Amino acid sequence: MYDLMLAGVAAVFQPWTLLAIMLGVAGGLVIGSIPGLTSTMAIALLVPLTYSMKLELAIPLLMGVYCGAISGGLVGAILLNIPGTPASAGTCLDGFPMAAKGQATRALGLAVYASMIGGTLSGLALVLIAPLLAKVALSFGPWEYFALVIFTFSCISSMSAKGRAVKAFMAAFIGLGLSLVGLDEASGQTRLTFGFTSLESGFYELPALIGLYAIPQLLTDTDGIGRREKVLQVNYRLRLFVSTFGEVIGRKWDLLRSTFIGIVIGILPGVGPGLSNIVAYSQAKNSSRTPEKFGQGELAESVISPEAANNASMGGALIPMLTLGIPGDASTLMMLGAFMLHGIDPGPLLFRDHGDIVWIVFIAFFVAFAFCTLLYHFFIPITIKAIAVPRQFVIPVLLILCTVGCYSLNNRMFDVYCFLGFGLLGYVLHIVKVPVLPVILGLILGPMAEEQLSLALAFGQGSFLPFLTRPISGFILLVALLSLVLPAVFGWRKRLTAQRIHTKESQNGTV
Amino acid sequence: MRVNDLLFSLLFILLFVVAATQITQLSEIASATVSARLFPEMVIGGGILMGVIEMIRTLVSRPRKDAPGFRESWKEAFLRRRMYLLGLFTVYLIAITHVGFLVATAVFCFVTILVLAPRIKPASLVIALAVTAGLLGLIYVLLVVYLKAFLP
Repeated sequence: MYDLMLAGVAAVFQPWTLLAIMLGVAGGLVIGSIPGLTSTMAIALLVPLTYSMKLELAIPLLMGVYCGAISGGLVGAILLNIPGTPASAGTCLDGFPMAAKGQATRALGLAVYASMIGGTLSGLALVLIAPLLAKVALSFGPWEYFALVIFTFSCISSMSAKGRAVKAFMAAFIGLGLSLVGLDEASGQTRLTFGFTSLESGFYELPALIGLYAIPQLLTDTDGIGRREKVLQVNYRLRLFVSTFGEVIGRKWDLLRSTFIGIVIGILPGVGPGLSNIVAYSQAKNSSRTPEKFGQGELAESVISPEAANNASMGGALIPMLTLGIPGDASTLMMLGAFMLHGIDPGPLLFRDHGDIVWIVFIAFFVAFAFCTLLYHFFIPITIKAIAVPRQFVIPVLLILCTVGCYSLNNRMFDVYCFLGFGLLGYVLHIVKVPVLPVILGLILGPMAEEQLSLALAFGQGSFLPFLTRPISGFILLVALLSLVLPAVFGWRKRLTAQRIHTKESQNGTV
Repeated sequence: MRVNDLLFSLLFILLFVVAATQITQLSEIASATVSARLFPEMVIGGGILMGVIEMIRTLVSRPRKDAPGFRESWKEAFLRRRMYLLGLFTVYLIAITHVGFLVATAVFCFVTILVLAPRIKPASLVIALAVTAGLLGLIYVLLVVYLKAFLP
């Protein structure tokens, strides 16, 4: 293990690799700070461009963008009251009021240091948990893998907004359906091509991923053009910024609790920093002695908690992606696409066969956070300018970069048309309020699900029973079932209690 | 949203039924232990089931007062700037194969910046030109020179 670790250190601590991480972090910070441009978008833009790079350079670069873009969201949240990324939604609640009171540097400092500590601790969790989980996963058979795919979809569905659980499943089935298109390798027959020869090779994942995310987002971003957003004036002072580090360390329990929440939520498939920061904020409020002061921009922990949690989710989200090949959130989904683009299939075998690459990911993660912290000290004035860049200059540039990226994957226009087609699909889903993440997960996990199901049935001579009788597979399916049933039962009980109270109150009122 | 949800469910079921007609045409291979149709049939069957559940759920549930109506949501979908961008981008993709990538990109970038801008001032023309030139330079240097990639 130490050999692999040293190999990882040696690979990352090369001048070009360090420069790539630094540029990735800087680019990520700028993109992440622009409201509406998420970390997913930042990675989506870059993944195809890394195609001709060496994996040892591409992965650290993407890690830099990933860390930078998630962290960059805090600037928009604090100075505009608009989160740069959904991961910073909880930061708005107290960060903006704090900045509005003339304490913008303090708010930024608290958020930056909390992000960095949360992220670094989640990196430690990644290093400790991922190899252990990979070892366990080596004993998994096709039954367990198929059960994991079911668990992923049940997780997404149960975490969906109220009334959208079935829609999330429908979205997953759209993705699974799209994954069927093309030549079936086992039987040699074409499926769902409707006679179009260009569909015989199926849909390439990356144009689909980029289209589903980028086009709806860029189209809706045009609504903000011409709107004058009030950016708070910041009298940035480095000394004051640095002094907030002590304040962050002083809130160690809030920091640790939020980091823990972030890691756990990050590990859950399909749920990421977008949820963890809100949960951490509400937990900090519940455990505070002065909850009434939350939302007023007074307490350091109200900024520290959401930021520590959203960065901690990043390490958490990488755990299932690296060990099981199941992404923790949309950004790691893009990272998964990047790995696949370079011919590397994440999963337990990655740890056995490409341990050096795993360690490159680990080391690059820590280095990216170190660069992130360092750059933030000097980048705050630049990111403040970035959030004020008129959107009409950004949108066409991003669309063109996406187009070039999609083309450069296979040098064929078909992928570019797929990018547009999937973009339109994503836009329609956005209008009818159907989540897009399950579509992508379905598209990526569909072939894996089919392969594992076929293997499981072949080994079990056509019997479905081992899915339930094998302990791990049975347990995963049970958890999947509970994750679907329990929220519905709790919701029903809550409604029933509310109804009873309402009936009692109205009876008392009439008496 | 009720009408939207119903329309979406209907369209969803219809698409899956069309897909089912294709899947039934798949032939079985005698030597295969697992049917070639099994997984596609599971996906399509599950999809249709979900579509039906969603449709029933929409019909049975009470409409939410805060949810946007059918007209509002589609009015938002066809907002002027969104449609301009979508139209220009579609034309751009078609134009790439006819006039070449660099020309099409230059025109698309410049025109889109101006079309999306709230007001066209002389300064915005200069900035649009600068952004276009900068982007083309970046693409050329980064992709063609450094990454040795092909342009469309």
